[in-house]
Amino acid sequence: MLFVDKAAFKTVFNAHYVPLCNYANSILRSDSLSEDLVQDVFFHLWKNNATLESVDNLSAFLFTAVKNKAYEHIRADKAYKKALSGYSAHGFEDKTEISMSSLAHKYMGMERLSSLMRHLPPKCKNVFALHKLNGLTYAEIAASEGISIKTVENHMIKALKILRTEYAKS
Amino acid sequence: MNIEKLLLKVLNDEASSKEYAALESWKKESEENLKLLQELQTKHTDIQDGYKDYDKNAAWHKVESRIFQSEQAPQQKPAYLRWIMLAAILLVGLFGLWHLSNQEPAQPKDYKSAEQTMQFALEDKTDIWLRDGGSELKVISNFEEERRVALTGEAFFDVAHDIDRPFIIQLDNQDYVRVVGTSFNLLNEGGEFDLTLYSGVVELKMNNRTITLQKGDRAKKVNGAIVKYRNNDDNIISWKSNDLVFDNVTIVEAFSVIENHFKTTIDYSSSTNNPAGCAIKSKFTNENLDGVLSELSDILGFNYKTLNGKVLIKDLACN
Repeated sequence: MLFVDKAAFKTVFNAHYVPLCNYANSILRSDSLSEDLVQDVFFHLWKNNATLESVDNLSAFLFTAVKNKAYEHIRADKAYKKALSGYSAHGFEDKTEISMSSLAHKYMGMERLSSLMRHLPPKCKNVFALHKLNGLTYAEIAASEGISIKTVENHMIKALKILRTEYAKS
Repeated sequence: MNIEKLLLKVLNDEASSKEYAALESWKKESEENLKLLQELQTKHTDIQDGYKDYDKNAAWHKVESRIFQSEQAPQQKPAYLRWIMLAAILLVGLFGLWHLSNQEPAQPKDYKSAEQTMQFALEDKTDIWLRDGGSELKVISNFEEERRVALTGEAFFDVAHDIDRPFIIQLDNQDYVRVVGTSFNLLNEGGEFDLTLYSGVVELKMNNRTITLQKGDRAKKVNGAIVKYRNNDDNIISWKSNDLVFDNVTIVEAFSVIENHFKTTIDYSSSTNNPAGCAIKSKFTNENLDGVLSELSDILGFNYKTLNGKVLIKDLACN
């Protein structure tokens, strides 16, 4: 059995729920649909527990399950079919053989950083995101936020301090 | 040189060879250091593309209650077991008829929260969040013709739509709230209540009067009087969402929200000349009391300390 008890299952759920929803949302472009779908995948994961003995890369398995469900939904959705009018819905499907485990890896990485960033105070987080994620320079951030370059640097130092403590805790 | 400054220089490609050497030794200090650096060096360009946070706790409760319900559901059983079950169903059915004819309420179910917010679904799939600290919900009908419950304390209701079985929340012996399918927050304590509607329509039955509330309305009973108005408080259900939103409110308003959210008392009387002059625009998610106060003190430049569950604010000066 893959999950001996519900606690182990919950650990897997907590680690994957948000990244899976983000992935589902990248396909479905709907938060509520994505959440329902991911919850459904987990529900069935628990129900079919016994058949999962051979799943060695759980993350990749979950992302694949979500991907399949999402495209299943798109195919079943009449509105999509109508919009396609004659074209095959399969046309939307991502046929490139991007490995699901590298995709899972990418999303899990984003989740790790953004879950660390959730510990930052709003302003600090904003500066950190502008610099680290959007690649703005200190000067650009200072200008757009109306603060001094020194303050930008202070925010960055504060951010790294918090990230370091939170990382040690996680 | 402190490690944050060093990390920043390295991440910004501004470090000297000497600084790189210092970094190497830091990396060797622990596995964690190395991993964190790798984490920070990875380009996560997709996050700026709107990587979102979803409420995994609420989601877990939903999955868990689905699992629970499915495990209660009957499964295919051997033939003799099915006969036994059929007999059992008949017995229960007969008992049920007898029960109805006796007009007795069904076995009441009680839910009471402890230190944590409690989330569960009733049999009609109505989702309920009970605020932490001893809020209590009692199911007082069998849900056949109506769904009747009683609340003491605070709860958020997301009532499953069922036009044939109105959902009724008893406030006291005679007053109640009647809904069909809607979501709202309700605080009912010590003969007073505070109800805020988030979707749908609610009927409030008070002293044989009916007050109808629409989405965004709030009704309160304070000192025996009922007031109805449009809700402009973003933080009514902060106890459930753990989000605190201050959208240009005065520090006094913010303090009162914080007091309610963290169940604490804030004393700022000693320090301010004009507390209404300090406006706050900020947002907190899953932050503890100290985190919120520390951020506010950064913005406004005051000092604070926590003593016996009370917060004392000093040197707050608003102009």
